[in-house]
Amino acid sequence: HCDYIRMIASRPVVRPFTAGRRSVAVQAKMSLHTLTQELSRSQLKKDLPSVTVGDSVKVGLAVQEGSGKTRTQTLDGIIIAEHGSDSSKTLTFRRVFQGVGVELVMPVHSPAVQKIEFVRRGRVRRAKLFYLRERIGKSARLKEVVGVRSEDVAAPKQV
Amino acid sequence: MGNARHEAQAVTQHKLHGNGTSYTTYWFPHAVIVWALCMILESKLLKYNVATFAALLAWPHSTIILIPHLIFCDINHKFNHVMLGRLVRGAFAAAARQAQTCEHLIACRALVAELGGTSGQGDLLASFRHLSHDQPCLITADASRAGSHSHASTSHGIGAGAAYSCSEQPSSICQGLRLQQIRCYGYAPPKRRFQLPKPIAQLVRDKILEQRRSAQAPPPQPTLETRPMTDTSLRVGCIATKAGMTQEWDEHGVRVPLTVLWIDECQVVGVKTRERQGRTALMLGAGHKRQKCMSPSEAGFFLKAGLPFKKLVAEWPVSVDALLPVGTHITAAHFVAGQRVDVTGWTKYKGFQGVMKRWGFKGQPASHGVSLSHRAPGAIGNRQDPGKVWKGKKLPGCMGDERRTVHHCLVYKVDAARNLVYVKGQVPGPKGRSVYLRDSRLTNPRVRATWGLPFPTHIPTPEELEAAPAPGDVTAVPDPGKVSVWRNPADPYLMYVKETDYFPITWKKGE
Repeated sequence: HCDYIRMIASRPVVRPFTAGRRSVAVQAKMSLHTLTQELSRSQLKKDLPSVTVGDSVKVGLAVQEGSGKTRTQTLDGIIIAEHGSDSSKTLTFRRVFQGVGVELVMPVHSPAVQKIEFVRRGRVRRAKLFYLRERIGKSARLKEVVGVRSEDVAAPKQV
Repeated sequence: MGNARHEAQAVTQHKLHGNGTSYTTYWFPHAVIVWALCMILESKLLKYNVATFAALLAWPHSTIILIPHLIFCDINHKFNHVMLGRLVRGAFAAAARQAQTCEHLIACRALVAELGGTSGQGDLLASFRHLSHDQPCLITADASRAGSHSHASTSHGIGAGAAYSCSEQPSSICQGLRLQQIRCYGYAPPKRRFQLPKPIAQLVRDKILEQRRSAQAPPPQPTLETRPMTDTSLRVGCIATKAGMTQEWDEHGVRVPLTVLWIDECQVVGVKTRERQGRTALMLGAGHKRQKCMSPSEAGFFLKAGLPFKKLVAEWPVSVDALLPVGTHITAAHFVAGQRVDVTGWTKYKGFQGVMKRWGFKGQPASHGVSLSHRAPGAIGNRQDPGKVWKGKKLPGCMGDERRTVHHCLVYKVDAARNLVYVKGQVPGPKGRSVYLRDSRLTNPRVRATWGLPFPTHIPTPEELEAAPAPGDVTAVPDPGKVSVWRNPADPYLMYVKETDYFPITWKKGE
């Protein structure tokens, strides 16, 4: 229970405005949630770029060959949706392969997703770009946001 | 007996009352005045004797006036004969009751003397006198039985001990009387309450405590030592709190959903043996609860065992070689990564739910003329035979908060330093609720032996005990090296890998 108390002591200070609205049971539940989050933090990847919906990315997937070797296969596509948080964050990745649209829901922290490389950012006014499923070719293009560099998008190096 | 008479006289001087009416003492002077006035105003023309009635208002103490009045004034009045007879009988009854009261007091005093023993008799008598000065005589049924004179307080059992002077329960008549007195005189004498004399009550209490203390000694505790585990032995389980769910990927890239179970100060709180309680079991307690939030019997249980106050206590049936002494800590090291457990919890409460959610009924179509019954149960019976609805008919009602067990769950990870057990899959109940863990009974004893479980429990070495932080220490950092994870020996993706080798696919670069 020392860990429990440490969690309560170290979580961010709740503003007085909200402290009175939440009951003791709800606060305890939130403390358990933060405890679970911190416990799973060691399993997360630390070098993820901050990629959002509308970005064109190159994704490196792990592919196992028959001989047992693991190879990285790079795919280009657009991020059209993101769900979840922390260890259960997933990105929905769409690409058109040989005339057929293929979507892939990738858990971001999975070992199968070896690399995410940022290419360019698209100007989108939605959180989910499912309208792209009805569009092909030129109408499926996204307007580029000028001035975003890949250095900004990449995760900051931790010393 | 002369001594007794002297005592009786001494007691009567303190104004004991023979019956339940104390107001008459205050009516006595008034009665005399009224009688005198009526005597003055009385005339021979009147048929009835007004003075008689006036004095009767202050019965019975005013019999002192009435009896000479009736004897010396107009004996030929037929009414006076009847009244005289009644008054004389009443006066004699009152006198008899007075005498009984004195006798009761003497018997009570004798009882106190024999129980008190060394305490000075003079003190008791003085306390009695003090008591009787304020309140009238108080007698227990013991005294009445020992005295064998009483006829009044026989209906009450031992310990009931109604006060003799107020033989009937406070009824509405007495309450009405109090109100009348207050209304007429602005004052009512204080109500008498039953109270044992303090020396007797103290003596009784001391005797009871002495009897309780001389009860039999508790049985010997089982020893804490590592024993070999046999096929028939049954280990104790654990009480844990469901902290939440996460996910992880193992070395093969397989996603594993995990439930985090936190063991909060689980200790053995009691031992049950076949001789005393009829079964071999261990009581475990977990959590913390303030003493003021639990009943005195619960608090007394923990105080007697010398344990901190626990929130939840539950029992596990174990084999005889798995018994543990009271106070043993059950930690996460009790479980081994890779073993299987049964997790019992109380499911989430869903409230009042309809038949489709609660029992999985199919409902009726959304259209085609169905009127107001899309989610209703439909028919719930037959016809005249049986002519009733069967008991246990599936109908809407409160759903959830039921005890359910998930069997054969895999323990994926054990964090001994932080007392965490990660179980693969789901566990009944919401976050923060307690669940019971138990070694899975669905396993073969041969398979169970391969897990390498610590039997009867994980006994920490002295180095571990020193390294462990104090119970209230918040700043201690848990050791991440103490985490043990289960490694799946077989690669679940192997068959896919093997199959893809039949049709080698080449990916175009840059697609």
